[in-house]
Amino acid sequence: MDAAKIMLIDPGELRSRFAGKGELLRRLAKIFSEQTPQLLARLRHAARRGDAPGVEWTAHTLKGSLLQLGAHTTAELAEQIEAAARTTAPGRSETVMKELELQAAQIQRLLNDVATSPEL
Amino acid sequence: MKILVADDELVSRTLLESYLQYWGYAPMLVGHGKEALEVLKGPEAPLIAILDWMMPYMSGPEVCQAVQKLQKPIPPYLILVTSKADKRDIVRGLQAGAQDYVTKPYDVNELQARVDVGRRMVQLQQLLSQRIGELEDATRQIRQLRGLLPICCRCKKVRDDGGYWSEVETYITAHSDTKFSHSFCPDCYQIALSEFSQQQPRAA
Repeated sequence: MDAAKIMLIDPGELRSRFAGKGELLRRLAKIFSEQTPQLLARLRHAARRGDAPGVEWTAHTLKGSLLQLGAHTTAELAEQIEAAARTTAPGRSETVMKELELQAAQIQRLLNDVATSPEL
Repeated sequence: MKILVADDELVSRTLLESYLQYWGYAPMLVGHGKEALEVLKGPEAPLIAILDWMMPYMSGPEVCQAVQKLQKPIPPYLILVTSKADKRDIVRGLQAGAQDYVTKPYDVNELQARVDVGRRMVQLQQLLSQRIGELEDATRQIRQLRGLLPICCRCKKVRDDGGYWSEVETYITAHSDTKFSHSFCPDCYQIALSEFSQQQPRAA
């Protein structure tokens, strides 16, 4: 488990929050793994089309799920994209979007690690 | 108690569903605002609803506004949940008709306390509505016994709205919760006693 992952999501916090609720965390990890790539693809598509409301909406949805899982740093990236779409400054979003995709993938792996750990 | 959960984002909806079940509520899940409004319009609608702000077709505040217009006798307790944390958004949400507002990521204990406040408010409204019903029934009965009542000056029968003459006691029994127990007043007792004595055969 590397340091970058620990910064993105706190496994200890997740374990204590879902203690005795392993099944729920496994369900959430599965949902996150299924919906996040779809949302990221939708975000890319909306950004390519210059669809600012679409970018804002999808980034907001991503932010919501990231916040619920305690991934605050990554949620901030989604928030930046959402805010940029609102103020129509999509140029700034490309770097942030790449970082968001990278972090989301790491979170997926980390969530699956915690959800399938025998401690839960 | 049933609680409606309206959120298009699956992680949030699944988490909320799990918490509510754990707290002893029966969550009903929908994925967008229009569906939420349809459920809230129904006769067996949940009396508490947790609504996400940003949803397809109809936003959380739009659902709140539409629910207000329904003018239900017991309006549902509406809680908006969103990651919009701006004070102006909170004001907008409450002005739209929400009773409470929770921002993501919410503290689970705080959310439970707020949902419980909603349950108490709804139960209070149900009790109030029941009491108002009882009061209205009582007022109706009192109104029936008020006003001008034609009474026969000889036999003392009274005439009801349908034009039928009945004994005073029959009329009052039919129009109120009063029950009569029969006895003699002191004057009638004397008269009855004297009539009774006259009817008895004289002793030899």
